[in-house]
Amino acid sequence: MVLEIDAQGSMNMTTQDASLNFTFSDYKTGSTTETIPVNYTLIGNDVGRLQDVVVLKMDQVLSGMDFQSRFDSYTNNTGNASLVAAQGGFVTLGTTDIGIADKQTLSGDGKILDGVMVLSYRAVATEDLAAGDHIAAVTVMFVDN
Amino acid sequence: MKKILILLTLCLISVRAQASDLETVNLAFTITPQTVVKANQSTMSANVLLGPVIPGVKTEGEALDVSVLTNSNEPYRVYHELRGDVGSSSGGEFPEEELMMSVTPGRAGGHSEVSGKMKVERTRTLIFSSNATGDADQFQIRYSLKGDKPFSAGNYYGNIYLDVENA
Repeated sequence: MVLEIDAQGSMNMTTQDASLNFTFSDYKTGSTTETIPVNYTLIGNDVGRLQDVVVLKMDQVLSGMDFQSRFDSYTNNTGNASLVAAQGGFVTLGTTDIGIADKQTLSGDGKILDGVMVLSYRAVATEDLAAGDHIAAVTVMFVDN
Repeated sequence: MKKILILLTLCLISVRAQASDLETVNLAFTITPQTVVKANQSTMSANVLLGPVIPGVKTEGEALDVSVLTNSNEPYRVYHELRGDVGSSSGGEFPEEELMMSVTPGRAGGHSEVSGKMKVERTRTLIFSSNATGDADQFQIRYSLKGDKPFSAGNYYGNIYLDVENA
């Protein structure tokens, strides 16, 4: 008899941190908020893409500040591929896609990602800021092909 | 003087005694003691289908119906073997430690040699024993995936062999 195993292409990304609050220590240009790391658990079994596997985008540009993200780490669980920083250090996000993580093959076909990625976020004042609250949304996309 | 000529026609009717010749042909039939195992996918498809598999999720396959036909009246055992690699045309590697199997007891009293679920082995593995009188029997094999380790999308194929031998 022939045993046939039909494995579907699948991807999933979860995080516990759906909402982040930042506070500027100062209102002056160049001041920064605290840096908040966020863990993302990723599982994908058909990740053919090499570059920009994780992409960030904001829904709006915040006036008077840059909202930034940095790829901190990726811890592989059982995958045969890993993620590395697409760019060094903090990257200013905008309303267009910014690649934050690329893929590296560890073994085999390198299409399996199963691990935890850490991204850090912060904001930097680009001008003196008036007191008040600013709200924006960041979309994190996990792209397989 | 008047002469009478009489012709006598003699008819010879010969009645032969009927002969009889009896031949006895001795017939001998040899019925070889035989025990065979047959397997059919319960959905009658050509392959035993396991899936669709979703990474990280336990998956149960369709049952494989196994029949053992025998006229030997001797106890027997059924063995299972996975031969060769489980591979896909797309080059994905299948984590064989993920592949598990379970075996039901036989309808005629044979018993499963698989306790719960066990890893499918590449070596010839005892999975079923007949009842004490070696009656024909039927049981099911069900394959499953643990779901602990994701593997690349694609269709994977492996060869399963079943054989039976007298105990």
